[in-house]
Amino acid sequence: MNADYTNAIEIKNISKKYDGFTLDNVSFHVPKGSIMGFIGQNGAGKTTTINALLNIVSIDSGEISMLGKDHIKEEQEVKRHISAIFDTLPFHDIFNAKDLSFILRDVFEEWNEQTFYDYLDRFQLPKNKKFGQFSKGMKMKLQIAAALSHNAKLLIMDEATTGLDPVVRNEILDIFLEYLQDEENSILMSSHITSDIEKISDCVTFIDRGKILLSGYKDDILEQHGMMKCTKAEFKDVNPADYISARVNDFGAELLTANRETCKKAYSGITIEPTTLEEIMLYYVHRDKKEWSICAD
Amino acid sequence: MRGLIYREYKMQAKNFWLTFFGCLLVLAISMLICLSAKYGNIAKLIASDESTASDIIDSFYLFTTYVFSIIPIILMKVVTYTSSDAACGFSKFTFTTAVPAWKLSLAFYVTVIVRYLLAFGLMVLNSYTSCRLLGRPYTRLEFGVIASIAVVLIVVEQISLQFQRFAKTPAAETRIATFIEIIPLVAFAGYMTLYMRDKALLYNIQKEQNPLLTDDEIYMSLLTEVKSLLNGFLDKFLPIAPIILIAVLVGGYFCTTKLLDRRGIRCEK
Repeated sequence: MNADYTNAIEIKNISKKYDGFTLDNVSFHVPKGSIMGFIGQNGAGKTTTINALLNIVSIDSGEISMLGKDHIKEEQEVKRHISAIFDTLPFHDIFNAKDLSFILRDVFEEWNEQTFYDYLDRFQLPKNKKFGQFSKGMKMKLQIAAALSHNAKLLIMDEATTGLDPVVRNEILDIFLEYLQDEENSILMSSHITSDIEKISDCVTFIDRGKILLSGYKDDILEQHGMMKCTKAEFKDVNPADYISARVNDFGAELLTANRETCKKAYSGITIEPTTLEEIMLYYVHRDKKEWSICAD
Repeated sequence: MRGLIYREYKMQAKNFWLTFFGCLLVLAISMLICLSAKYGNIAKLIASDESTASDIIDSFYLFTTYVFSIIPIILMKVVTYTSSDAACGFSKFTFTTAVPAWKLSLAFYVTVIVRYLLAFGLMVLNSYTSCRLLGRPYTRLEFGVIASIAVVLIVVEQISLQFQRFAKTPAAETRIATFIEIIPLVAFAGYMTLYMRDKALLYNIQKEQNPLLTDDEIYMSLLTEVKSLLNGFLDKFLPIAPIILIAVLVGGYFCTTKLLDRRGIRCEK
């Protein structure tokens, strides 16, 4: 595998039109050796983008390259070195882990049974128990064990941690961090659980209604954004161009700004606090209304 | 390849065992009927009246061989294969890997062919033992009819399978399968009804024209006519049956490979 590439994933201006939904000119990249959090509310276009990446759905326009190769022209070569993890186990309940290893030997050229069994031991997953008797957490761990046992250079995960309890989620996130110790490895992780993304990701891409709203290093995004907390009177004096949207309540308003430093200077009387990815997502989703309140929603 | 074949086997294991035990059960019932026909009360009839006994033996033979032989074929049917894979996400998973569609398709067809052979072997065994137990020779006619039933059912099933893959939901898949597979059965039943009606009319005409003819004589003449009709059909069908079968299975394999490569079919059910 050619390791001479800087971005594990490069998406340039991809579009895909469905009845009632359009993936509109989506562009972002995942630097090699990093973990990219792909966030957005349900139906924002995360899964469609991932399906386009994996060539599960064809795109109307745009370009995609993975591991430095075109995702269609060199599809087989690319897919030899990637692993996709979905929110449900893609194997029937009648199989057990031993069966799975036997089957995946035919699916992945670089399948390593020993690595797989080591992961099973580590995750305390039984080898002879049928998947039908596995819990959701066990199924997810099993998928991860399989994904990490064939020397994949890129993990693509679609809502992989959704529905898991915090203990399992943390355990899984630790595995991902360990996987990234090898600088050749990269991860694209889609989720609407922003706390997970905030915890482990290096970069973040935020998609809403089929459009990319933000994409870049997580620290930069958090650094640029800030939460302005002000009274109703102060809120009236804030220029609408200086904030994304404002949550208004009886006591005052909270405004998300994308220019923290500029706003600090412009509105010296208003407190501007650091924000979180969850707040960023929430305020961007309401950007069209500009002013909103929890009761109204 | 072994892993993928193993997976297919496990997926179809229930049908495999259903076929196997179903066939054994059918075989056992056939044996019992034939043995009771040969050594039971019917044996006394054979001793008393040759022609009636021959009729009875014929009836038993027809029943145990042809009616019972269809049961294994029905049991071995491939059902809801694609919807089951789509529902668990395996189709989508395979598309995220480099495993080629032809490999998946080949594993499926290897397993299906083994199952067809198993069912066909048991069908032939059933008709052979029925023949032998009833003291009849096992002729080309007996084997040919069984082989023809098997070929027709396999062809219908393969056509149905290809159409099922266009279904968007498992329920639609079942509807397509039912629709396609019922058409030949209804057509055959309709044809047989008309054929029997004609024969009944012919029988009445023969009785009216020649009251001296006994029922047995008319029956024997009708049986001879049916046999000659079947032999005529087999003369034409048997030489081309292997070609039809191979063409359908190879065509099915290529269609499946092609369809597995189509994103819409493989992943977006």
